[in-house]
Amino acid sequence: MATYNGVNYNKYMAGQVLDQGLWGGKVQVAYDKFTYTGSSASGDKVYLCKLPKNARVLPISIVKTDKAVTLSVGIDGDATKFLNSGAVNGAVTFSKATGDQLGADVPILVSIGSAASTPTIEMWVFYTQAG
Amino acid sequence: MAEYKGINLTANESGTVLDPGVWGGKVQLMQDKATLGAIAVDNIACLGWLPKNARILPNSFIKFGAMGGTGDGEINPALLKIGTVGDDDKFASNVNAKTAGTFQFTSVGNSKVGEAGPIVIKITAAGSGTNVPVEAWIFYVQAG
Repeated sequence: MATYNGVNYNKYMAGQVLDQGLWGGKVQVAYDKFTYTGSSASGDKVYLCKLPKNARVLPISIVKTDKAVTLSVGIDGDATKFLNSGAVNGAVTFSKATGDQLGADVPILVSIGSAASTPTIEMWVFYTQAG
Repeated sequence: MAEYKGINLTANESGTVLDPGVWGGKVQLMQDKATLGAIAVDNIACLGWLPKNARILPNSFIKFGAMGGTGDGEINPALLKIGTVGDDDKFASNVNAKTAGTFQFTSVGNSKVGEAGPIVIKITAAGSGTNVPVEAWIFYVQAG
């Protein structure tokens, strides 16, 4: 039997003042939506929302489609930062989001991998901001 | 292959000041719970209170205990609606509550609730359960 402490619990117990992005920070949300007027195509890029450079994107964030579309979610330079490519039909959370800071003001990139007729893509990005 | 931008990113880049309800708004939580003594048709549970400009977020959820059913082997499950005072199936209808479960608000868009008041859970088909807990965890932002 052993006891293990989280990295932040350890710091807290050691008296460190933790970054609010990790410890009691206020959660904010950004929402955006794009509706195709025609068909989506593999290789399309859809940019949604825009987050401040110190934002920490939370894994409870959601991308939602109204029909089956293969897509990944990330940022320019790391197209699968938040969600690996896969079929989405409904609401899916950002399973790969780790809460690290973005480092620059950036939009969220949805990379399309399949054709669908007039799909709508919605996104709710939950984030905290840190110093 | 083409590049597209969302409606709000487009508005932001054109200099429009966006409603905090869609662009960086603070997430708020409304949590409430009740116990339904009996699962009878038209029994309701009113949970919490939302302002009329609340935009419910899709990770909100309602937990409910097992409400059972009626008939042999409880073949007819207890059913419920989830909505508001003015629109009792605004969020869901015919939710099967025979066994304990969770209803997630993944079907919401980003529109405002439109009326101040509680989330209303209404029984539409009876069940055998007694003293069944229902609990709402509603995450929302407010807009102008």
